[in-house]
Amino acid sequence: MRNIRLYGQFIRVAVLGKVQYKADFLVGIVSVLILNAVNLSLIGILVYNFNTLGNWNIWDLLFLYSFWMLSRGIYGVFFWHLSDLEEMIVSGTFDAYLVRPASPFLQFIGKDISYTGVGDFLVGVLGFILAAAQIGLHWHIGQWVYFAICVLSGALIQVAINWIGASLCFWTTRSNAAMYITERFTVLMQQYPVNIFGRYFQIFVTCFLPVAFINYYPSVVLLGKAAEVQLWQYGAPVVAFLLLAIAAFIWSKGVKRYAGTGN
Amino acid sequence: MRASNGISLRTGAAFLRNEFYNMSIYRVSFWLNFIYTFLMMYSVGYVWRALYAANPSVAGVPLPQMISYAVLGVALEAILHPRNGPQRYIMEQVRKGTIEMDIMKPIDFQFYMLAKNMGGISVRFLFLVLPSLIAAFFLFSLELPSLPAFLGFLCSLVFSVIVSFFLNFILGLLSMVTMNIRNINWGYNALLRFFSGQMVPLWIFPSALGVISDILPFRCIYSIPMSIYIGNYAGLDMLGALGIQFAWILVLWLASRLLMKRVFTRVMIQGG
Repeated sequence: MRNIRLYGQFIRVAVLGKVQYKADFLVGIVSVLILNAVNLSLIGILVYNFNTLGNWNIWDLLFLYSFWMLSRGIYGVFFWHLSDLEEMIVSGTFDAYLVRPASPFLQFIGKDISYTGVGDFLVGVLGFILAAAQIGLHWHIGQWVYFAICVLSGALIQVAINWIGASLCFWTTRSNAAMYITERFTVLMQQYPVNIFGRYFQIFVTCFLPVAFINYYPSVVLLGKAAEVQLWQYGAPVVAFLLLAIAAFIWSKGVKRYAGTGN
Repeated sequence: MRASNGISLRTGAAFLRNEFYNMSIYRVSFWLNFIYTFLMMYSVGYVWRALYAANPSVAGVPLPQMISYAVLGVALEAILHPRNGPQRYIMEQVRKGTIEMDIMKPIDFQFYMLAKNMGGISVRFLFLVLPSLIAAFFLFSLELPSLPAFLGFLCSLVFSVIVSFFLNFILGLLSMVTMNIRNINWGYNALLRFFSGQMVPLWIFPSALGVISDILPFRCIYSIPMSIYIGNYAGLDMLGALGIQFAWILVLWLASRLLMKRVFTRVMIQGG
């Protein structure tokens, strides 16, 4: 309870720090919108020429992309600065968190928010509305609830992957290269239906780096893209929970090790 | 002039050595980069296969050539991505206030940046681009280009590295004025990604966008060398494409010299 209040305070300070720079905020949002427009137009041009990608048409792909953007927005606003950990470890500023009477993770996560996530989320909302209208979605309440849970799970999966990536620098001091590469790879994966990449890739992004659960499997379930939906394809929330547990474990090991060596 | 050329060459070689040592320190990030390039090649190959499966005749070139094009687009990113340009270094020097030192060195600033940059790019080409292309060649059984296409490709690639250097250098100069390069860089990345033909070839663009991409210099960076490689530009077309690249090099060189002069006067007046 105290932690939640504390985090609320941290975030309030972070927000106040951000709103000082209004121009920066606007430029940041606009650049995210442009970047998304570029991504979407490139996919658009491909599908405009070829009509379909597997059994996904342009609106299905927009749905897939928006799904990802919604979850990425949530992740981005609160956790984008996970990649700052490397610099904090290298420069030694992380040590300040260890001596204060609050959880280091809470302090680290509460130190900043990022508005690029706001742009992503906006794109997600707009894209979803457009795609939903074009596809003609008629969901019952259960499907809406499942949709909301999956967006949240998707955000948490991204949090967990980046949390694990960042934690690696307790051992290696450098982790941003690995995080950057995972990020770029994820970005490519999330834009296309995973089944076009062949079996090995599908196994890889399902079992080892489970980014397919961020938007692909939920979309398969919700759009009815599989002839027969298997139970595990509903598993996004479970995957998110497991990954978070693993990430929290690795982080706490890392912090202990870091504090133990007395760096 | 001749004497200074000798010095230039030696300076260039020194930078090359330097960059090589710099890169060999980060061995882990090298391997990660290699794995990343590989995963990307593999997946873009699959995207094209899936697209062709539905509609084999739309893209204007047969699938194996399209895959060569896509794989090249991924591999060349290791040298042509803007993050390898000099603008990051320039921005850092500006922030630290040590850019004066670089400007006052008894060597032309632009040449200094070029030599430094080419050092890094040659090393990355030898140790990232070349190995991944050779591996891709066997694993995806790519087709070899004809000899003229291959020679044209090499020549065009050198041009595209130079065009990309000049554009990055101009961004770096702008950062001296605006003191913040992040947003400019972002916009530039987006434009480059869209209009360079790196991921999606320009010839399947709708006509209006195609016209815009023809006017902009970005297609010199990925589209032209890659199109030459897969034989889309051959004979006179190839010479024409090389000519376009060369013309852009001249234009960008002139523009960057003019801009450099203006920016430096400004920096000097400000006194850093």
